[in-house]
Amino acid sequence: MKTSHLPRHQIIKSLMAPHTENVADVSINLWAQMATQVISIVGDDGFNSLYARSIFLSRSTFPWLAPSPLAPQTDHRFAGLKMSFEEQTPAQASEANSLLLITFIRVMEGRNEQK
Amino acid sequence: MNKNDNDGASGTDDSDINTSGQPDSPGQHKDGLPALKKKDFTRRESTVADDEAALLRREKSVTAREDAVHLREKAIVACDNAAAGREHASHLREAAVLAREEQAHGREGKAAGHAGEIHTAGTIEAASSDPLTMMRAANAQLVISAIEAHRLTEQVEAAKTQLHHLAHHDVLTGLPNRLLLQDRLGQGIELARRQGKRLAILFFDLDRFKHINDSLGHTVGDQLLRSVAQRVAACVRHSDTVSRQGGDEFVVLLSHMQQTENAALIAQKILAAVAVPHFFDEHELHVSASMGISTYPDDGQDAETLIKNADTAMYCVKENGGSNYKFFVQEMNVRAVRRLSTESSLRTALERREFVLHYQPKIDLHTNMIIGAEALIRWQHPELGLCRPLSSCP
Repeated sequence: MKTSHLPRHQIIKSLMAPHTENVADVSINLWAQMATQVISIVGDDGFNSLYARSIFLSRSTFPWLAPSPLAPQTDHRFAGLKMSFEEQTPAQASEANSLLLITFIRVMEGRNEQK
Repeated sequence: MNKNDNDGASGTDDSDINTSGQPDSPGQHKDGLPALKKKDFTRRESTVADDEAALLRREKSVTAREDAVHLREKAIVACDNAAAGREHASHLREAAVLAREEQAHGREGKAAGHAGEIHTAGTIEAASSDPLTMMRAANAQLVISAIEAHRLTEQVEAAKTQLHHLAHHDVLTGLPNRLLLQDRLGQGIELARRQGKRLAILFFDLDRFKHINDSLGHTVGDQLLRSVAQRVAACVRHSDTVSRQGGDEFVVLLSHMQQTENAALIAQKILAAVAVPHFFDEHELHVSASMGISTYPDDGQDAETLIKNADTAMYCVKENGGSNYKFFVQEMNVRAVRRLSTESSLRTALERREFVLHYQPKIDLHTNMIIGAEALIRWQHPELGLCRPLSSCP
């Protein structure tokens, strides 16, 4: 079922909204679940490419996001991202992760233009 | 049976001995049968009994042997069962070992599959013939290719934007260049015509810039130009345009102007900003600017005329010492045209050798003595005759 952009954005923000303290852990958990699903279809290389592109596009709004390594290890795929979130306020980290997730989905859809 | 079974005529044997152990005498039988036959019968009965006993003993022996055989067979069966049990246990152990080896192979296969999926751009190598793995690798390549295509498209667009910017802006100052100014001025004139508004062109250059450039070098000259550009840009609105025409010449386009006096205010502001000392390393530079102003629709209906007239006005300022601004008036054009014409005629006169040298004596009025002479250039015009200096060299 194809969802429109607005409800999807609301869903993503609603996933982040309840967690005001351990934003980093919640965010990484969401990404881990996302990675599991996506990797089953496009493999590690495909996911890494999508993730790196999403980070690149999101850094125009949040320059403090850690750039994605070229060949990340499976166990430490999101270590840099977690560190970036932990260095920000919960509100900033939550907003950044929401944008990152929205951007990731947009990249998967093939819409790479920056807003 | 023993050999006594068929031997009725044997010698002394057990049949000859009665139960008491005394041999029977030949004549002493109680029943009256012939003693010899009774004796022989007894002997035969005894033999049969012995044979039966022997047979019984043999049967017992056979039975014992059979029992022993059964026991051995049972033992053998037990051994076989034990061996079978050991073999079964061995099979179970082997099966467990095989299962562990298969699991290990499976893990190795996954690791090898993951290592095989890591590839450089443009190469794909499926680590195993598993269709799911191959499909996943193909999907990964599709994703990577699509993202790479988007990235290349972005780079191309960025390059195009950069080229467009370079084509329309001055490299030294970053200001719009002549080409962009022409475009914006044309649009501004069209908009002003539709809306009945006015616009102004401020054409200015730096006084004695060539002297600064020649004495301090082009590096300092470039720094001065950048400094002037920044200061002038800060004096105008975002809707206005500051452009560099080349050298030390700048043009400012003031669009959406309500009244001409606003252009004068901007001009004063710009001249004051330029006059503030400029500091570059150990240099402190004091510069001034000369500015000419033309307005639409009074001083021209098109971009070229407006810029030309503003330039003429600026030149008029320079003739009067510079460091000022002046609005264009038509008289400036008349004088400008005349000046250009005179300059052209002078060049022609030089080529035709129409200039003559006259000497005028200097006389002391007290003594009426010639005390000197002045050399004077006179223009012998072929049509106008001898021209006065004021007319040819104003």
